[in-house]
Amino acid sequence: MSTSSPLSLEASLAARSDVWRGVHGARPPTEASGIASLDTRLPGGGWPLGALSELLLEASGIGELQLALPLLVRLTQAGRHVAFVAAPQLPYAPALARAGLVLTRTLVVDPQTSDEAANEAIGAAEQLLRTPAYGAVLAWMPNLREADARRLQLAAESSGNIGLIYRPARVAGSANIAALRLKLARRETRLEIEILKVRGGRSGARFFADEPAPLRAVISVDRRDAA
Amino acid sequence: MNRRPPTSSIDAPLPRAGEGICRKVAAASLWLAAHLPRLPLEALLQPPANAAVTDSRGSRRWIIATADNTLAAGLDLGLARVRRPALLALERQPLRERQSLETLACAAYGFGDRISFRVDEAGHDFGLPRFTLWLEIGASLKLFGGLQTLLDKIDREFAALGHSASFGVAPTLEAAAAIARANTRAVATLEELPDALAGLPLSVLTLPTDVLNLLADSGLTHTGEVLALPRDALGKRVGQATMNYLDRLTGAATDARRWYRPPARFARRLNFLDEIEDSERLAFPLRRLLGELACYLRARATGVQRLRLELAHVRADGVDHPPTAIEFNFSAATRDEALMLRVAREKLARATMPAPARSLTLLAEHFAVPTSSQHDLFDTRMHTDEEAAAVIDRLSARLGEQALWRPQCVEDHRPERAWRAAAVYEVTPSTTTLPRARPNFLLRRPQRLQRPPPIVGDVERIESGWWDGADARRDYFVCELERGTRGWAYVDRRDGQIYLHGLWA
Repeated sequence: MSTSSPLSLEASLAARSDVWRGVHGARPPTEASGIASLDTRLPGGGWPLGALSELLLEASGIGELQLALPLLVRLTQAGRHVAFVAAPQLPYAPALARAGLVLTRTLVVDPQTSDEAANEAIGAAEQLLRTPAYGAVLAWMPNLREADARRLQLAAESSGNIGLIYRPARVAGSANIAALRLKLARRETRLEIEILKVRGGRSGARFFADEPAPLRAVISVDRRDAA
Repeated sequence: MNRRPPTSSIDAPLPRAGEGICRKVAAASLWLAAHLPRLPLEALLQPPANAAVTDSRGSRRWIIATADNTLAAGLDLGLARVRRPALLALERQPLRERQSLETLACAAYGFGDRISFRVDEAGHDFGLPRFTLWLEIGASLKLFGGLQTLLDKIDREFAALGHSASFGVAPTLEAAAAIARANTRAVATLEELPDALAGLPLSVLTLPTDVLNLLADSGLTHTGEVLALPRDALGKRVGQATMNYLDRLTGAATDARRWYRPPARFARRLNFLDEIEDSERLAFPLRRLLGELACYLRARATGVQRLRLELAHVRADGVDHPPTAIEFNFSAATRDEALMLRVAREKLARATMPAPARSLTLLAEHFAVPTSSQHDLFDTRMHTDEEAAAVIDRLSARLGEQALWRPQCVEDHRPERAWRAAAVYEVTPSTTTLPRARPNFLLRRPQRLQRPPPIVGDVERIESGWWDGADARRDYFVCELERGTRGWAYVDRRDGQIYLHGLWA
């Protein structure tokens, strides 16, 4: 694959738990979200690696996936895999391909046909988070018990992967072990982000997500790959 | 059992093709023969310590191998039972014996490619069948660092598959077999062969019973004495078939055979000695069959993509239950035994057995070369692809294949047909032109909206499908729903209703 993007190497390095990288101070290892207004407010400048980040939604369909797409695009183009676990709707191939995702490295786990869908989803997310090949796992877990969150956290820690957990905003008051907790809402045409909690940083900031960095170059790389 | 021929004479340089005496035969081959006297027992699944495998003819039934080696092979079963009342007598399973030979032949493929095996049935009551496997090793001797190292390697390989053998090495196939049975020293050249054969008892040769009796009645006991007889006189007494055999033995005639090739399809059945009720206990036969499959895959230098397991059941409550069949795919072709076992066990654990099982069959006919060598540490991308495939196999064993998929683009204007859930083991990348802006989430089924929502932005008309019966005439638009949700909805121009079809997540 001829990924010429300089971000790819950065992404592969950053997403590896076995590569120690010198960082200033005690900043936790992170991977840029690609959303500038968010990255500048997060310690380390992005999603924490080897940890869970919770995204609490006021409603579905407010741009919550858009926030994760730049990360998924970089990871899949760098040869890593990503997974959607128990998404409430169908992750739509034309939109994902247009964003630049390598779909052959994108997995959808849809355990809704089994009896214990919620438990199976947690089990699947845990296994994927534990597998270094999966740089990021997105999981929709409205009712995540603390014990299960701990399982997922341990799995992410063991591999250094990024776990993005989507949950409804009503759980905001509950205790949790996530390294980062964001509350997302749509205000007019834009996505508003509020940092409820961030390990090693200051919470409370509320701001709008700016548009992700331009993806034009990235799309051309993806097309070469698919051809 | 695993005594090996001494190797002193093999240290001399081997003759090259077309050199010296070897010009008389096709090429200066060197053959390794493995004599497998315990194969009837080893072919069975977990025989207990008091087990004995028997052969029979008419009303006679005799022992050909025992698990603990306490009774002589060839002993009448009735007499054996007098001596060992607790003896568990099991009938030979000729099919399994042949399959075991095939597995050993596959294992031998790693050491050379001219392989053959043969079962010589005993020509008389109380006789023993003989199992011999041949492998040409002249070409691979140097590669494997000499005869002793090669023999050690092959012995270990056979032992890992649960088999024990004695080995013989000679420039002809039949001489190697006779030497393996007699367990005497290796012979490197045709010149040395007559001396080596001279001392072998006639019993290690592959001769019909009446010929052996005739020779014994004439007071002959060793091969050398027979080979020294005038050819014409001997030929009149023993017949042309035996003369041909002796010529192949000494190298006077070439030994033309069909070499073993692994078949295009793998199918093996293991019959259980006791019926199995608990699927946990299927792990042992499963491991054995998958070990044989891995051997087969290595011989063919390929991997498997799809496996089928079949459990045959005992007749229970007066009902004949049809076999339970379990089929599953691997996301990437594999010959990794541990992975196959993990996935298959998970599948079996989830199967419901209508009655206890009496046999397990493993079938494989969809093969593909694994995309990467499993030993390449340098290609990290391949490495992660393999990890990714392994976890997919575990998950799909647990959740079912339809619970895992990859989004794939399809060339179609209708949004619900512009994608498909591709099976995870499919490798075709989607090649399609990228459409206009589309929402990240599509609803499984369009949802009818009671009231027209506020429209944001332009309307996109999609008309398609009049040719295939799924006619669509719709006007799509972005709309605002409650709590900030942004939807992708359309007016169906056939009924005028508004439907929500996607979310701008």
